[in-house]
Amino acid sequence: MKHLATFCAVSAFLGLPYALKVVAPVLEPYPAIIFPSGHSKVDINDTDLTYSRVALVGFDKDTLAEKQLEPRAFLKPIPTQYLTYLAKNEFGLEADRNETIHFRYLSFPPRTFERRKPSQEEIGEMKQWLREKLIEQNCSGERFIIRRSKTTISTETGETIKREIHSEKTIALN
Amino acid sequence: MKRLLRSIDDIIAAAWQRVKSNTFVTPEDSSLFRIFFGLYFLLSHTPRYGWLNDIPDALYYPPIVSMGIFFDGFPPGIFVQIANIAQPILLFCVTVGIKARLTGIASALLNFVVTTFIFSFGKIDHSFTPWLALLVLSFSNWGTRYAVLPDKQSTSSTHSNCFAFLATFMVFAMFTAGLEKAKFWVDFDLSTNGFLSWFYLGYFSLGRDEMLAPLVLKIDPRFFEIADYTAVVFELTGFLFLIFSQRSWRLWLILACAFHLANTLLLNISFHFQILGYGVFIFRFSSFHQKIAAFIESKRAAIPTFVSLVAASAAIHVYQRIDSPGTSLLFGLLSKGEGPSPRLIIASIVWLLAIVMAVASLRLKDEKHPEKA
Repeated sequence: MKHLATFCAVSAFLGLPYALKVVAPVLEPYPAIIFPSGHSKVDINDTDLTYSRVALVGFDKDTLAEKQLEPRAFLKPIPTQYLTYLAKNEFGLEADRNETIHFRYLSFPPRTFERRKPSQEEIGEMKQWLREKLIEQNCSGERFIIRRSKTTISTETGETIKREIHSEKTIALN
Repeated sequence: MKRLLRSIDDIIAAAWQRVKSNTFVTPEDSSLFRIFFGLYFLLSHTPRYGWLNDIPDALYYPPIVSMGIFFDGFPPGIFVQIANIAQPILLFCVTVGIKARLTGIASALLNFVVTTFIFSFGKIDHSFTPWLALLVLSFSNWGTRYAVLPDKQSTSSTHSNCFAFLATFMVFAMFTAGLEKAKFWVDFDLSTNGFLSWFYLGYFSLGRDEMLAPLVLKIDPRFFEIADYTAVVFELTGFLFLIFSQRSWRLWLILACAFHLANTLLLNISFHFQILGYGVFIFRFSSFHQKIAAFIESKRAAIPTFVSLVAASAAIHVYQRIDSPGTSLLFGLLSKGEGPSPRLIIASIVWLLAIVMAVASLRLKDEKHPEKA
């Protein structure tokens, strides 16, 4: 029965992490042998396409006018591909760090998972890090905005048809 | 019941034997691939961990099901610095064959540990194939030939199991990508498209408008319905190709390389490092072994020169990393100017060459591993 036992062990090794991801994407384990599916679709009859973007907006240190921050410089050395995720957690400063796990395909009720909460010292360190990043871009170190906008473009010409602010959150650093 | 279980056991044993036979690579070929693997890593894909220094711990948000959950923040700077310098040294050892089994396992495990922290910004990346290949193939005999300090020979069964496992893991990974796609993309509805969802977002929002991407806009969108179904069929059927025959397995590898070439040209998503997973099954060096042996025999300085060059590339990495996060040598040298980025051009060449070599390998006689021969 050696082969059957090995087969069961390998199936569990490969299948269980994938099953976890399928029932609750937030439970995707690492490391695991899983590729992302990227299964979104577009309607090709639509001549426009809408997508969401996250932008960071500071305030000019002299005029206090809004100023779009350059994400690569702001996040450095963190790669910009993590911007959306860092913004979601408000750069570690969000008051509620708990994660609610919603299950798919199973009739389990949502579960709340308590995430690690940063200490006051860590929050102070984080704010100082953000302040320095803002000052580097000639902005006031007091606050900045995480702005989520929806942009609609024409898929025929590539021109922007509409841009609207979807939500924004001001992060105070005082 | 016992008889039924025994029959199932026999079926699994026969299927596994087929997989082993279909994926078999000789120790000589795999050892030469090890050199290609190491060089590719050192020149274009050496991981950089140095940037993980000095990241505020408030950003630490590890995946719930990961080792990261047992830590209270990012690792100390000294650990990051040691890992950052150790990785090119370990890859150098793998390349020239200094105890490649031990150094390969250490290199892969070190990467899995550090990437657990890197993926603690709330997003898991899926670029594990080269590391999985390194970990699995380290148990094979790929460190026993063309090596400065060769590994102890593993049994031929262990050796062939490694390739069978690697192939199984790769087709399973593709299967996980295809399963959910199938649910949404195979809709027999010409008015929706999955490929174009990737394309439009990349082209208009992320600046992925190089290579042949502009051509996509000139083609009737309904045509790309074929791309949706092809991708799903390719991703879901790896297991069938793997188990059917050695030739069908090579055919799937050709499809895989063509898939990546198309993604590079049209979507500007290269995933060039995937070649480190497929390559061991594609690159066949059998006809070169005698020539290489004769060359080494006639040119006594060949091995020391080669080892010195590899050592030099590892040393450049180490030197860079003493006071900076380091760079990828090849792409660091080729800065982006006008025209398509060097990364996309190199990736296209890599995938094209891989297709040519995979097609050439189709004409080779099936290799038998010792247990079956």
